[in-house]
Amino acid sequence: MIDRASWQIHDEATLGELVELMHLSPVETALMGALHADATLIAPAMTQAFYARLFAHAQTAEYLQGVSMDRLHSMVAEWFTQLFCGTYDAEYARRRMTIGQIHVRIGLPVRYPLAMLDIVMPYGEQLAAKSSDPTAAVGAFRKVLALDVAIFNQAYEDNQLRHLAELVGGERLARRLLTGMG
Amino acid sequence: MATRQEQISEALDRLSSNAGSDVAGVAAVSMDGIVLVSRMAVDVNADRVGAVAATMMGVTRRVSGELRIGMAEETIIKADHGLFLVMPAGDQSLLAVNLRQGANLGMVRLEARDAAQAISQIL
Repeated sequence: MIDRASWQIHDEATLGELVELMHLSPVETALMGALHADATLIAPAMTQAFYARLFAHAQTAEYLQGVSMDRLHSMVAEWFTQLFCGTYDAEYARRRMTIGQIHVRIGLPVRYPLAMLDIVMPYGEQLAAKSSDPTAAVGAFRKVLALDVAIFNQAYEDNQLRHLAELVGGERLARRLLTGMG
Repeated sequence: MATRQEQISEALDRLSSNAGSDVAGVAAVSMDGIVLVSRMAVDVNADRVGAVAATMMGVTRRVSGELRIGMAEETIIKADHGLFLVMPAGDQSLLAVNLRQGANLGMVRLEARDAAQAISQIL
């Protein structure tokens, strides 16, 4: 099995690499930042739709039992509005990674946060459509959302790889096993 | 002068020869599961066995660590039709030995330890 350069990128370097990969231009970040105030206005409606979807599905509703819904609404609203924060650096990626790590800790399958993009995307795109440059803003929104998706997935992969590497004694062997070579 | 691969091959051949028909196959494997030299039977996927042997050693070390019983010296699987023995060969590699059913385990272990020692000195 060929060793890949990407395997040498760990921890915060992973986040920096993703930010570099997405290559958001200053124009795009400015367009997103200009929508931040409006994002806070539509965030409550988005979170309502978000949790209505989760409560309508038994397997996702299970994760919402016995937890403060006010707190969850607040967290998702904050997550949504931060998509439009206008600064997408390593610190942004680190905050998003923390959210992914929380999902890992509560044992939430990654398919659920990814599926919820079905709710998030239309709200974000509607908001971007109100921008001074709607086409560019929609494109920028999709880039930022893709960055978040990548970070979410990385949180899950990091967790699995770390546990397997600890168990078998090394990351290289763990990667080998995960690719089915073992 | 023989290459390191040739020297490892000699150590494995010596083990197979001294243990006789008790040994069905043997391989030297890096700790990350890469087969350095294999003398496994043709119907055995040496690459997969190498990865599995390294995994066994890693898990064995993890168990030894959790139980605080010291460094793992070897791990053995006894099955219906044979045994599989894995032991460290220095810090960076391990020795995997496939034994036939009814093998003289004590004798093979002695030979395997000699081979593991030889491999550790080569690497």
